Order: sequence, then structure tokens, then C-alpha cells
Amino acid sequence: MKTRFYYILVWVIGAFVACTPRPKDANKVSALPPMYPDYTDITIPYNIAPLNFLLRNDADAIEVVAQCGESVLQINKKGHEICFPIVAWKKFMNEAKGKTTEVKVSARINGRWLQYRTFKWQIATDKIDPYLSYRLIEPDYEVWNHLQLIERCVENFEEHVICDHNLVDNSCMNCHVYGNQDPKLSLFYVRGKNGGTVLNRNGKLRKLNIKNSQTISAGVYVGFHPSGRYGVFSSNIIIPAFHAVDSKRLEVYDTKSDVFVADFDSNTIYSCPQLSDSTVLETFPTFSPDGKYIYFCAARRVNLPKEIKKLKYSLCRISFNAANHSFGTKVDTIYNARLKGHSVCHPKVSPDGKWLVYTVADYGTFPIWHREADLQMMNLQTGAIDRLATVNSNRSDTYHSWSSNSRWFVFASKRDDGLYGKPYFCYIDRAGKAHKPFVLPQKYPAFYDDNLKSFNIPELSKGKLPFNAVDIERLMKKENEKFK
Amino acid sequence: MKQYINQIFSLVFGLAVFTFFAFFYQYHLYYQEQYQLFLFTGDYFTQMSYHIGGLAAYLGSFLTQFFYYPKLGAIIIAILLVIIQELILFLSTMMKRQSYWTLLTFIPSIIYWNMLCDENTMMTGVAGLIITLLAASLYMLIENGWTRMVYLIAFAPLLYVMVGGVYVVFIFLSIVIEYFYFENASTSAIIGTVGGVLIAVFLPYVCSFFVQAPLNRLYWGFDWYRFPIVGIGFYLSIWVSVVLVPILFVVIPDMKKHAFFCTTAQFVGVVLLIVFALYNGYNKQKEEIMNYDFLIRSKQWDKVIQKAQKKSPNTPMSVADLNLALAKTGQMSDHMFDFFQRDPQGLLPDFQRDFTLPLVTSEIYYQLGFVNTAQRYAFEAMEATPDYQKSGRVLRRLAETNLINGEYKVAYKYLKILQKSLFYRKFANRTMALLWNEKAINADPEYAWLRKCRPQKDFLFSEAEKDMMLGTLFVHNRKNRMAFEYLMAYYLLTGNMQQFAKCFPLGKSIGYDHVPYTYQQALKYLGKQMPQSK
Repeated sequence: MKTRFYYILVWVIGAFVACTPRPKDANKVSALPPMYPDYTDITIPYNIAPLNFLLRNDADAIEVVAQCGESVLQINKKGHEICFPIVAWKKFMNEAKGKTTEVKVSARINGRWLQYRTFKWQIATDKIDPYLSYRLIEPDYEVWNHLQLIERCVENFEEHVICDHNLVDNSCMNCHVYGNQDPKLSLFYVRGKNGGTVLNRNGKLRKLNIKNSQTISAGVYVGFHPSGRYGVFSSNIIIPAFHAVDSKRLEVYDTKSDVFVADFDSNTIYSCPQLSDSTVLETFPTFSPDGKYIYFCAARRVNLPKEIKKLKYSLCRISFNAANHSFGTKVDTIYNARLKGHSVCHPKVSPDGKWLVYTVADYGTFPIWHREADLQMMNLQTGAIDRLATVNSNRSDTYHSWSSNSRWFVFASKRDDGLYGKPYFCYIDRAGKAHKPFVLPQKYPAFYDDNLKSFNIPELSKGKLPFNAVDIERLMKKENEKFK
Repeated sequence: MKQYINQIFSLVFGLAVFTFFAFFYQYHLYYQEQYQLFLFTGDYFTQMSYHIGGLAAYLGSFLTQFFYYPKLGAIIIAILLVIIQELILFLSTMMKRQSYWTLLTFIPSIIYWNMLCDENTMMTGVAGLIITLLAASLYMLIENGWTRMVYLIAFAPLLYVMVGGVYVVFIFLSIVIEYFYFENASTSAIIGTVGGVLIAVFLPYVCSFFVQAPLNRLYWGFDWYRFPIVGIGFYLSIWVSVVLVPILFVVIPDMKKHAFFCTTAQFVGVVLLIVFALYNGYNKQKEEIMNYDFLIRSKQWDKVIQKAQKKSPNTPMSVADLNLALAKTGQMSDHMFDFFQRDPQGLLPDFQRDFTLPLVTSEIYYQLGFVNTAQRYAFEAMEATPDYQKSGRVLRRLAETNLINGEYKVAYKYLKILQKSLFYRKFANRTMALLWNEKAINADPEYAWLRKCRPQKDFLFSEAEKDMMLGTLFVHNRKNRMAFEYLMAYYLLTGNMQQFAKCFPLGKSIGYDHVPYTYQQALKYLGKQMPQSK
């Protein structure tokens, strides 16, 4: 009986092995594999999910061999897609941590095997924060549909819904942002008649109306004070407009905007004339990691929409004293738009306080639809600016969020097709050098081909959020807490 | 003959349904089809069936794709409504083999016929109801009481996942069958009844802890109607009638002695019910509007005009369709006032957060050469679709606008998706060959012309200044006759005769062989009003 069992087992394994395509007399070619997503010669964190990919050719079988010293990860598959088994992937990544891996891809096309040029994966020992939140939205104009805020674990493919439009009367929702990359400190805004600002602080949910008689709107763009007690907000009157020529789609500008600080303990709003000058548009505020400064963007008002191309935002800074919630009297200009000729958006300082990454566009305040929009990184100690040539593309590269160890940031890029934004991760090494970015891996390699949604405002966090969409549904039924 | 009477009635009913949808309501079917896109992919199946009632939604979408050919759609609807009737007949006659009330089994199908006259009623419900009736029929075929009990309690939750809220019909039909057909009041029947009722009442509530969806939709179901909010009467009218008919079969005494009277009365009643259902459900005006929209979509400009000549359209949508057809056939400047004209809304309707009107407006902007604006309106229409489905018609238009704009990667993405559909595949394959092929695009009469027409210098499109936008478009390409005629029509419809007079000379570049009739009249009027302007 036993013999019979082994016979069957050997037969099954033999049949399986025989069916698994393996390269035979492969022709070596000098080209890199036509893989999508492009995962060639990148730096990745050891805790990233498997980098599943497909080949954009007529391959009917693939072999991938990733080798790092004695450790080997090999996979042979029929078809043109490769999905790594997660257990084997994790084991290999742990063994290859801090080392460089050579990846050899071979493909069978029309019965002949090709072996592509080997490429490298540098496995960084610096971990990336394991959770990523983003808003899934079609790249629409004015009408939204099927909006969701999602939290995804980047170590695997698990995701869960933070807020679902179905549960909030199909209301629009702004993107979800964290404070200190802490899952117990985050915020987003739900519009509509029962809407309000959802504050998750110490795991407790509150619904706030962050507005008083002085503010021109409820809070729009936000940054948390490291203490979690304060949030710095912009209030904006936002106008959409539509371009007539082919290469452009949508323009969004503010006709009014100010910056203020909200105290979540006393429900009080604080501002100062420097942040609410009626001749200046102030927006995109964020605290420095030590909480002593507010960085924000500011532009002189121009005649809109006619002079939209003259609307250029500088990057400014003002001090803030959390002890008595007072502001400094002097505004420093960190990046002068008039001198540099660009408009700055979305500044964010790395948690270690060394780097300031922001987006520059030719003009305006909505770089997501500016194909020239690029990220830049400023060394806050020297003031030197890195144009991040290895990071940027010829399409919109914009909104970013830092990992808590300041070694990684995620940003939204439309580099693939110019329309659908995707989260890309970039490694900043100890010398401050940026490495080639890579897109968020997906369970199914063809996911991005079929997906009709953009990933908005990707934000990294150290852990899983303590609430879900049903909690938000319940919260929306409560009254808003008012601010004075 | 007598033994086939039920089949004959079913056949006649099916033919009536087919005739109605194939010849009197065919544009409703076109309309339905354009607001969804069934894809032959595993991902689409997973995505559709991932939620409660997903299998019914998937099948509904599968069936709706055939509405691309309305006669095929009409056959499908007729067959499905007959299947519903036949399944109810099966359940009813099993419970009482000798009955003279068989025509009652048509009632649920007639109600559904009435509901399908509403363009927002989805085929999901039909698919879900048939699965439910099949499940109930299976219950009837199980001999053993305990097996039936286990089947009811075990299958009801599974059925809920497959078809949504209509699973309660299965539970109540099973209870009816248990007591009226099997006449079983034993322990198994009581456990089954209590268990079934508890499942009916609490299952959606329990699911609400695991499924992120509104509780009321978990109870009633998803995708039966295009809009998420619909009165419960919509569901109850069908569900109650389906459960009630078999009960009536048993409860109402047979009138064997008055069989002829009984059958005649039912027949008259059924006919009257059909007449009432169609009188109540048939919407001639909507069918007319959808007819215009179909003719525009398929570029049958002459047919639009022929139709308008029989009866002048009067809704903004259909007037806008007519004006587009007049412009495309070069008749706008001569004949636009041969027809009823509303105001500029019948020329270029304003944007609305709606899924119908922006589609028509998109067609107009597309033909004018405002490619980006056409793209925006089409995109917005798809975004405004209340059930979040993708639209085959819109994706096709978006592929075209991106192709014209040279955004080949985006066009490729849309075409790849369309290639996975049944009826858009041909277009997708043909258009795919044009990508990154400037020579081929420029050899295509439509795309090449629109490339020449679209603005080259950037400006922000202003809907409040349509005349300025049209003027800018025409100045860019002075051969764009349609832009010129829309500009002049805009001034005529807004009564801005001064601007009309000012812009009239620009028409020289068009190369008219005569002064268009409408313009002659306007100039004559201007001459009378302002002699100095002669």
C-alpha cells in the first residue's frame, strides 16, 4: 500500500514538474524585461509585499530567479504574469535584508526562451511604515462617485475601508491624513448635510465643525502638531475650471484662503494677521516635527481666472508657540516663487527634521493636473535643493507622505498614463540620496491596467487604524462639535 | 387543445412582451445597455459577485448587454417573464393539480413587465427572482421533511449572498409549500418555519456587522433599481404577488361547474391588468427622447430630421439632438427655424449633475471640435450614474477623445477594457490599430477633422460664455462650419442681433453658395430695426 502511495506521489510530483516550464537553451538578450510595473534596479524595504509583475509581450511562460548569496527565490509560471508566494517571499526578503539581490527573468515567446538582462533589487534594512491610507477616486472633474478611503497593509495585500460613500449618503470625502504617522491620530473631512471633520485621537472618534465666524470655510488642508493637541488648517474657497487644450484637464484655484490653528482640547481656533492676510492666499500648512514652526504656501492674489498663470505660491514659515498658542511676528520665505519661477504645494518635513519635500508646478495650487509638477527636496540644514531627478517623471509627481523613520516617502504619480495616479515609494538613504521609486505592489499584476481609480493623498502610518467605515457611519449621525 | 391551454397562454404572453419591447419600447433597451459594461473577465465576476446579491447582479448585467440589439433584448425579457410565470405555475399546480385559476400565475410577470417599462429597473431583479423560484421548486421536490428543513436553513443564507433580499421569497414559499403541499406540521416543519423566519428577519442585520453597506439595502437588496433609494412598494409588489399566487391557488375554491366563466373572467382580468400595466408604465415621451439619442449616437443624422419632420421635438434634449443633426447635414443655417426652437438650452444644454443630459451635450461638443469639453461631459455622465456602473458608450467616447488628443496610453487602457466586452470589442480592436499611428489617425476622416478643429491655444472653458467659446473655436479653424453655425444660432436664440450682425461676415470663409435662409430673415429683420446697419 505504502509503495503504491509513494508511486502516486512521485508520479504527481513528476507530472507537476514536467508541466512547469523551465528555460531551455535560452538566448541572452541585452534588454531589460518589459515588465510592468517597472521593478528593475530599485531599492525596496525588506517588509514590502511581493513585487508581482507581468511581462508586456507574448510570453507564455516565465522563470524568475532572485539570488542573494546562498538565498534563492525561484518561480516558474505559465502565462505572462508572476505572483510570488508570500511566505517564500517574506523568507527571502528577511535573508536578503541589507544586501543586493540579482534578479534574472527568462520568458518563453513563440516556443523560444529569452533570458533578459539581469537587474538588481537593493533590499534596505530600513523598514517602511506598514500601513498606507489613500482615497480611491476616479480622476473626475466635478461629479464624484463611489468614493472610498482605504487603508492598505503594504507588507501584504490586505486592505480595509475607512470610509465608504454608501454609508455617508454618497457624500464626498476629503483625504485621510495622519499625525506623526500614528494610527491613533488622524483626520479627514466628510462633506454633505451631516458632514464634518472626523478626528481620530487616541483611538477616539469625534465629529467636528472646525469653523468659526472668522474663518472663510471649514478646514481643508491640514497638518498635526506633534503633541496631537493642535491641527493647522487652511480654509479655502475652491473653484474648479476646465482647460480647452488636449494636454490639460482641470484647473482648481482658490479665490480666498487663510491658515489657522485649531485646538482640539478647547475647541478653539487661533490665527494671526500674517496667516489671514486678505491680499495673500495662504494654504497647505504643516507643522515642523518639533512643532515650533508652521510651514505654509502663500501667493499674492491675482485676477482669477484670467491671470491664473501668474498665481505662484512661495514656501513660507512662521513660528508657533504651543504653550500659549501664539504665532511669531515674522514670516520667513524659504522658497521664493517670484525668484524661482515656480509655485510650491504640499510641503512636508521629514520626521527627523532634516528634509523638506514639496511639489513645484509652473503655477497654481493644484499640481495633480499639472504634468510638469515635480517633487523637490530641500536640506533644511544647508538650504540645498535636490530636484529629485531619479524620482520625478514627465507627468505629475506630487503629494507625498513620510515614513516615520524618514527613510521612505510615498507620493502620488501619474507617470504611467498621465491620468490615473498611483502610490510610489522612494528611498532616501543616509546620505540623503533619493533612489528610483517603485509603485505599490498588487496581488494581481494586471490590477493597474484594469483599475479606473486614482490613489489620492497616499499617507503612511506605523499601524492599523482603530476604526472602520461602519464606525464612521455611526459617527456621522452625531452632532458636530462646534469651535469658537 | 385543452391540455396545451397553459402553454398557449404562455406563448401568447411571451409574444406580447416581445412585441412590446421589440417594436414599441426598443430605445429603452438601448438606453439600458449604454449605462453598463459587462466584461468577460474573472475580475469582473469577482467584483460583481463580491457583494450581497452579486450573482443576480452579474447575471442581470450579462443579460442587459444583449440589449445592444433590442430585438434580442426583447426576446430575452419575454423568455424571462415567461420563465417566472412558468415557475409560479409549476409551484401552484404542484400544490393543487386541479385548478381553474392558472391565469393568476401571470400576475407577477405582468407586474414585472410594468416595472421594466421604467428605464431604471435593472435586470438584476429578474435574475434574482428566477434563481429564488428555482430554489423554491427544488424545495418542493425534496421528499424527506428533515432534508427539506436542513435545505431551507442551510440554503437560505447562501441564497441571500447570491440574490440579496429576495431570498425571503424563498423562505416564505418554502413555508407555504411545507404546509399546503406537504401538509406537514411535524417537528421538522416547525423547526424549518421558525428557523426560516429568524433567518429572514435577522440575517441582513447580522450581515451589517460584516458587510459595509446600509442596513435598508441589506434587507431589500442591491441593484434592482438604478438609484439606491427606491420605495419598498417596488420590491413588495413583486415579492408579495409571487408568494400570494400559490396560496390563492389553494385557498380559492375550484369552480369546476363554471370553468368557462372562470377562465374567461381570468383572461379578461389578465388582459385588463396588462392594459393597465402598460398604460401606467409606458412612457412615450421618454421613448421619443431615447430614440433621438440613439439616432445621434449612431450618427443617423437624416433619420433624426425625418423624425422631426413628422413631429417637431420639444424637449431640450431632443431639440439639441435635432439641431446637431441639422448642423451635421449642413441644414442648420437654412432650416433650424422650420422646427420648434426652445432657447440656447436646445442648442448647447448647460451642464447638469446627471447621467443622461451630459451624454447628449458631449456628442454636440465632440462634433463641434471641443474634444476636451466632450470628454469632460462624457466622464461626468458616467460618474453621475447612480449605480456606479461603467458605461460602454462613455468608455468608447473617452477612448476616442484620448486618441484625438494623443493620450494614447489612456486610450489604450479604455480600449483594453472594451476588448473584454462582447459588443464593443470590434470597435476596440479597430481603434487599437490607430494608437501611436499618426498617419492612420490623420487618414481617419472624423478623427483627423476633429484634430484640426480642437483648440490649440489653451483657455479655460466657460459655460457662461458659450458664444465666446464658439467664437474662439471658429477663429481657430475658419472652415469649421458647425462652430460658425452654432455661434450664429446662439445669437439668434438669445436675440443678440447686434452680435449676429457683427459675426455674420465671418461666414465668408465657410464658402456658402447662398446666404442661408435663416440668416436672410435675420438680416431683413435687422434692416428694419436698424436701417443704418444695412
